[in-house]
Amino acid sequence: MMLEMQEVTRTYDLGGQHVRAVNGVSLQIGAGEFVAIVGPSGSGKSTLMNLIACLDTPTSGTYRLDGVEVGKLDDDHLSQVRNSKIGLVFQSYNLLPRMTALENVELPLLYGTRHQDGKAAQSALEAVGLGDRSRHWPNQLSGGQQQRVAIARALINDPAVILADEPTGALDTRSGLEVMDIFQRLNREGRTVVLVTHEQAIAEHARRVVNIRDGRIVADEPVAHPREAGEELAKLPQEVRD
Amino acid sequence: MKTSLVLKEARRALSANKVRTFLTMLGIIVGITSLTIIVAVGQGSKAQVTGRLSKLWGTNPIMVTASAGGRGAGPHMGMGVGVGSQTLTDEDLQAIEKEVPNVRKASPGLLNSDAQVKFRQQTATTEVFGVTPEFREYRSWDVDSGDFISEEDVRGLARVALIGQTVARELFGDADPVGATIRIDNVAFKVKGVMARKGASPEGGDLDDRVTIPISTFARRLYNVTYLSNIVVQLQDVSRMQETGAAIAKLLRERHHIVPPKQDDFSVRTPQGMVTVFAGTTQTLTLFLGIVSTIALLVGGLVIMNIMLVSVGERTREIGLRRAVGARRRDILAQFLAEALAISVMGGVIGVVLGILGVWMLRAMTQTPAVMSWQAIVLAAVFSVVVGIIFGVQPARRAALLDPVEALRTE
Repeated sequence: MMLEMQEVTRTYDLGGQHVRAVNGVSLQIGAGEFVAIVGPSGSGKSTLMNLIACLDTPTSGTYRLDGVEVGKLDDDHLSQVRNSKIGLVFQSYNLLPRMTALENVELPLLYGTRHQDGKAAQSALEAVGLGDRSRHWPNQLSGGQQQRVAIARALINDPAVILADEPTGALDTRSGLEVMDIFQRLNREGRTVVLVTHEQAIAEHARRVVNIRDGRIVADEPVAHPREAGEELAKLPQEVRD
Repeated sequence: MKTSLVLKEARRALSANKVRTFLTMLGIIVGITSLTIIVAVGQGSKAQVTGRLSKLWGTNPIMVTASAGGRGAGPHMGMGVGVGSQTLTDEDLQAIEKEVPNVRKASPGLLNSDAQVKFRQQTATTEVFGVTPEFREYRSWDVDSGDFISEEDVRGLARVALIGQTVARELFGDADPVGATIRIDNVAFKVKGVMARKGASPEGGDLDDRVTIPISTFARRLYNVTYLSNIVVQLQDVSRMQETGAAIAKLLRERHHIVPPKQDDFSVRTPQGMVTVFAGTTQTLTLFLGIVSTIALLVGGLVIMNIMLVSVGERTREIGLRRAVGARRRDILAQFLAEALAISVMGGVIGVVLGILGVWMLRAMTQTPAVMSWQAIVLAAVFSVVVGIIFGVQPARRAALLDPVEALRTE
């Protein structure tokens, strides 16, 4: 298994009140899967995502990622795991404004052991169709392009899992579909992709949907016929492309 | 994370907001500028004092004076011949020359600090010094008119005298004293010359109020004494002055059989000892200015700390992202510490440059003695690094300890 959670719980103390944001979740995701985690706000999906991303550790239960028992790691080792095994994509892109697209993609290399020679970042940008925009600043790129730069950044260290948190939330339909098309392509190439969203239509691009309510998994089913972002894009009315 | 990359990141962050970076540096610039000037002025006035002293003392000799205690029976300390102890002898002088290393030459001296000098109806009370011809060299004291005491004068117990400017004015007014006959304690002397003006002594006495005669004449013809008032010791290597002075004191203690608690019957004085006394006044000034520059550096450091804290607040999301893509706490710490250090070191560099300019202007426009030295630059460098670290640590720690989840959630 690429990702394995056993009875994972995460509780918070909010003003003396004990809140179980994630309450006994067991989840297994194999290599090469495309899983969408779906739930309304307050369902605990953000907390679950933070746990999967190794930004947070479980209060109880075990979490193994690519063979590593994450719950027992100290902060330095957790940082290393985030650097080498997780590719994070955020709703708001989180590009650093004073770095070019290429430099943004290279950012994780600063904190890893891999050599930084610009070539890896350039080919990652080419993989998301932005090979010619490497010298652009983030504010010179459209939202969709910025999100694709962020995806290239997530790919740079060849992570075990691509973890995307509402990646289409800030995008228009076309840009959103383009981003989903990239995820589907990456998945076809063998990448493990985990998508966190509250939009059912977006979730249906995955091959398996996990529903979460009140910190528990309430449904975990394969998608019989996943939507094809590429086909949907073709059906969209023609627009002036940038 | 490599140091070069940390520095590159710091440069990127600082050049993004140049005006703010400059304003943040301002306190450090002021502090380091004043620090540089203070050190230069301090060293300049010390050099000036040393220079003035060497003018008074000649070519840095050691002065051994007969008497007990530290200040000696030098001029103005007692009255009459041999007021101090009478134990300092010509044998002591020979021993110093032969046995103490680094001694080039030792010259004897005699003193009567209460002599009557007469010319016709004019009388003056002054000091009479018995010296050897090398006196002129080791005190670097020129003769205004006439000639100085010669070897022949010493050998022949000649009754010749050189008078100081004050004595010349008192006895002769505007007339030329050279060739005239004066009476020193009722013995007739011919005025051979007039010494150049020397001014006030370090102790505040009048160095021109004196009469100088050959030492042999002093000892055998005028006062009939067998001891010495002082011995002036010239050195081969002036930098080993303290060490040689100590060796002389040790030798004299042995020769005079002085063991504690018995007090020394002589004193050994070096110009460096006088420098310390003299420098006292400028040190007070330097200390005061030093406090001013310390306060400026403190304020500069606090400004850096404040701006860095603001910067950490503004860049919380960036910190969260960096943590999310694998930055460890120490990477974030290094990044923000490097920024604080870069600000203070750049401020330091600008401060040193302005300081050099300030020193140059001080010298050009006022009489302030100021000397730029590498010590001032090293001090400035050390201070700016120290300020950067001390005041950069707190903001950097705050950045490093941010929870990545919280940091990413910040708008």
